[in-house]
Amino acid sequence: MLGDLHEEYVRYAVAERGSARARLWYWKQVLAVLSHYRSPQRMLLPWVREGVDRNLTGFAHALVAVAGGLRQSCGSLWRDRAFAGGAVLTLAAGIGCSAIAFTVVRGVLLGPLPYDRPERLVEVGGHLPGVMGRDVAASAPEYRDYLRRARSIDGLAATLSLGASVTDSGRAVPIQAVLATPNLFALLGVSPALGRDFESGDLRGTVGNVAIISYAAWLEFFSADPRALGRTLRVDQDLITVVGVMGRDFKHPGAPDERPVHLWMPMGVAEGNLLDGRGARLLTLLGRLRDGVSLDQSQAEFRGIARELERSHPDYYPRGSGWDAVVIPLQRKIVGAARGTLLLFGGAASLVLLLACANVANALLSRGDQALRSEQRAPRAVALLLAGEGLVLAAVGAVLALPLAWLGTGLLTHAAAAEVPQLQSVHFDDSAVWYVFGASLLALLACGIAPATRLLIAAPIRPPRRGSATAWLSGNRVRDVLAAAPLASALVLCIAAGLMVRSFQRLAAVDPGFDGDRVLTLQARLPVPNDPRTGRFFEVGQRVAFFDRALEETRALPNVVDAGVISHLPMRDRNGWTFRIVGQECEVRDGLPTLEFRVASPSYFDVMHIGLVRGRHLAPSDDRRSPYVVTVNQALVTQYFSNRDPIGQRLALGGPGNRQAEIVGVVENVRDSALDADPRPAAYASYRQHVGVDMTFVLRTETRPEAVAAAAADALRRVAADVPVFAAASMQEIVARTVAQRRLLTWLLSLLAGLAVLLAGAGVHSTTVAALRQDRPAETILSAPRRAAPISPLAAAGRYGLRLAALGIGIGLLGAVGVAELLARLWSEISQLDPVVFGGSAALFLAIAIVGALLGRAGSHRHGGADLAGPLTPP
Amino acid sequence: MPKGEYLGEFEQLVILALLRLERNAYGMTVRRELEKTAQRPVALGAVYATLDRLEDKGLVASWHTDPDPSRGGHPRRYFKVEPAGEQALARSRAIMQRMWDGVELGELGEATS
Repeated sequence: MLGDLHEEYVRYAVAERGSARARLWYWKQVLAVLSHYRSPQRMLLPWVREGVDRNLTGFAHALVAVAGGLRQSCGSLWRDRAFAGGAVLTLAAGIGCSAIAFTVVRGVLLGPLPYDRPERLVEVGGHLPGVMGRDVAASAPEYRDYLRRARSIDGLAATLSLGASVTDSGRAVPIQAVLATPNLFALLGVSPALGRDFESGDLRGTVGNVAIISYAAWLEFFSADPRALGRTLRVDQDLITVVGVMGRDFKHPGAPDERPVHLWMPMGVAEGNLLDGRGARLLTLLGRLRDGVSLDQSQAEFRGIARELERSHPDYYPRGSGWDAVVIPLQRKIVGAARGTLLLFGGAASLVLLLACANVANALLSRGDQALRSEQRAPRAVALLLAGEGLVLAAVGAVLALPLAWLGTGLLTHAAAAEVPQLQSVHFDDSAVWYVFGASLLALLACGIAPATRLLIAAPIRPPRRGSATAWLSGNRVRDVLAAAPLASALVLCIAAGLMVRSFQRLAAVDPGFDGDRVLTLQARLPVPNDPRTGRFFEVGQRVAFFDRALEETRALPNVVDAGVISHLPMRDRNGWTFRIVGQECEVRDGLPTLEFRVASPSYFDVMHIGLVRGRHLAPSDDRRSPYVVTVNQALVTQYFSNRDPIGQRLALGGPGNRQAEIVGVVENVRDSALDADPRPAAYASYRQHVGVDMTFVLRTETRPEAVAAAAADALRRVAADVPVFAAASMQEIVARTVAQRRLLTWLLSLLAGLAVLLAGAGVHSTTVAALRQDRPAETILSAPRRAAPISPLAAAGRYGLRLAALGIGIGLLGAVGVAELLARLWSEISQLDPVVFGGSAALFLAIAIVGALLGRAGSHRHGGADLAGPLTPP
Repeated sequence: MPKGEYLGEFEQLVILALLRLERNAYGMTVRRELEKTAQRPVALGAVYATLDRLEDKGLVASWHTDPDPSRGGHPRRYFKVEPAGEQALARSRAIMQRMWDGVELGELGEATS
């Protein structure tokens, strides 16, 4: 139509009306199109026109073309509502999933921590693999050494997190306390919302008797009374004066959401105080990088300091211990292992978005081909129609994706808050809306612009000559690749999910070494005042008496079969100690010998069904008056006694000068850190000979363990009201927590894989429908080998499905090998080339491709199939 | 006759213009033919809207030529009347004739027709 207007303008209008009136006439004609012409997008191309005032008409043309084009595209989509609905849902699912992943990944990995310039905050830790393992805490002498020598940091604070109890109400309320050097808040760049920061005068001795409390503690203990400042709290029998209240949004760095910090007390790290001792690795160190210093430079400096310490204190950093100091950005430290889970989730969700876009692009391309070949529309018109349809689909998809993403983010943050740090503070915000907008632009680009451009480039006005370059471009390769790409990405997701599920199955079959069924666990913590000697549980006899009574009371409860107590519960707590076998030279080559040291009641082994291998169990008669004895596990015997009889041998526990214990028995191995980790060497001492402060009661019950929890907590409170009892959980729940992140990722990947399989199946189906609808004989469309006798459409569809499957599965398997390697890096026991998962998934996708193609054949038949054929040129 | 098969006046005029123009029927010539013969101002948009509608009904067919540099690089879209279009036109004419049978107009009517 533009051509006609142009021709008339040049040939007649100017001559008949004069230049000015001709232009006016042209303009009127253009505007008249708005009310008359229903598909004006045909006049949009090309933009350059000679002899016509571009400035005057260009905008009007664009306006008319866009408005009319969109109207036309909407109409065209409305006529094919089934396709439009499917495409919109596909895009909404793709955009929604990726928006959820974006919000969560961004919020957790990149979301700013609530401190001043948080990107400059670091944690200074250490590795001591030969003695205690990687990521060990620091000691007070190390803190002083760093403070003196390090130039790359602008301040270093030490913190010590511990449990305590507030007993003002007459009942012990368990709280989480942090002892911190007075510079902590200044280093973080935050100050209390009420009251003041710590001052130098607050510190007398190791711990000062003042506290800054959290907003939550202010609500709980002072009912948000502004006069709380100057009042006292009884914390572990000490009277502590409140000097400040932190703001509502403040969170202690790295404190888990389910265990927030209630109060901070000033701590001194001077030489000779209670916390001193180079081997006492209790402190977490937070530093701020000096301006202009990079992380690498700081790391290099701390590494240098570590080497100096190694030379000056060889006793503490022996050769072979692998000692090193490490500087880690605070954000990365807080997110920890969840980083891998989140990145994998993000990657999987992006694959689903790409898959959705490829599917819709493919379907639009097929529509374009059909319009071009069967309805003899002009390529430009079809291209514009496609671009318009892509725009409408992407826009509606984005609108639907918004509530989906909002809902999904809410569900995920609610369900996985315990597994992923910082997740609770993630919300669906402006940036998520912008992301949806961006993702829909990507969808538009993929679904509208790409097929339209491809049509414009490749679609000829007359049918292409066989074998020409145009024929190749306008052929089916683009369509086939677009149909195979979703298959490939869905296969990658499916294999990843399959590997995770299989690893889960393997874990479920692992024997942890104890029977956690119907076992209730309950933590109790004896109060320790700032001056421990004044505590009412300071004497060993007092502690033993408490635990004896507590065990008696809990055993007497209805539905309780037996009760025991342990210092470090397997699957939750660790307690690595160095040791030496008395009379045996210790060679420090691969590090010092270490074991897991646990203090337990003899009944603990009965409750947990941990069997005896040799010798005897710990006995009630092993008390302070009898010789110090331990039982050890089989792993220790295998590793350090070369399977010689260890009974009667003596172990020196915890470094030079410590107590020596005689081995009286060997017990079965227990997987103490995780189901997929081998049992470590362990030694058990009796609670009557070596009593801890933090102990966990284990109760074997006749009913559901949770049903007994309240009664058991009451029983323990009856024994001592000032001992907080908390964290009641069944043993099964504690085991489940060790695999929680893996379970989360398995769920997420499985959901995404299920969605991807659906989308890929739908993609194959619609591609086959499109292929068979086209106006050429089936065997050429389907690129079957050329032969004289035509093949049946059913066979052609099957063959087409097979070809798509081969292409998709081939690409998908290659991708899956890479993903499997990534997963195996996160979880070592994942079998990278699991034949069941790889073979099963490939077979599943083969079936999906063939069934999709055959159903597509039926679909094409229903829609009239190849009957749409017609001449491409006029007679 | 089912609803929709009767041609409107402008549709009849457009088909007649196509038949008169024979192989030279494209947007501009159709518009000029209508203005010249029917002596009424016609917008190109109205012509194309009608042609598209007729094509949707299968009454006319169109095809594009190669892009023409003298037309700013635009191809020409030629139209021709399909047999169904000729039949529809004939039917419309027959209807009108049946309606006119026995109708006598006065002098004023004769003068304006």
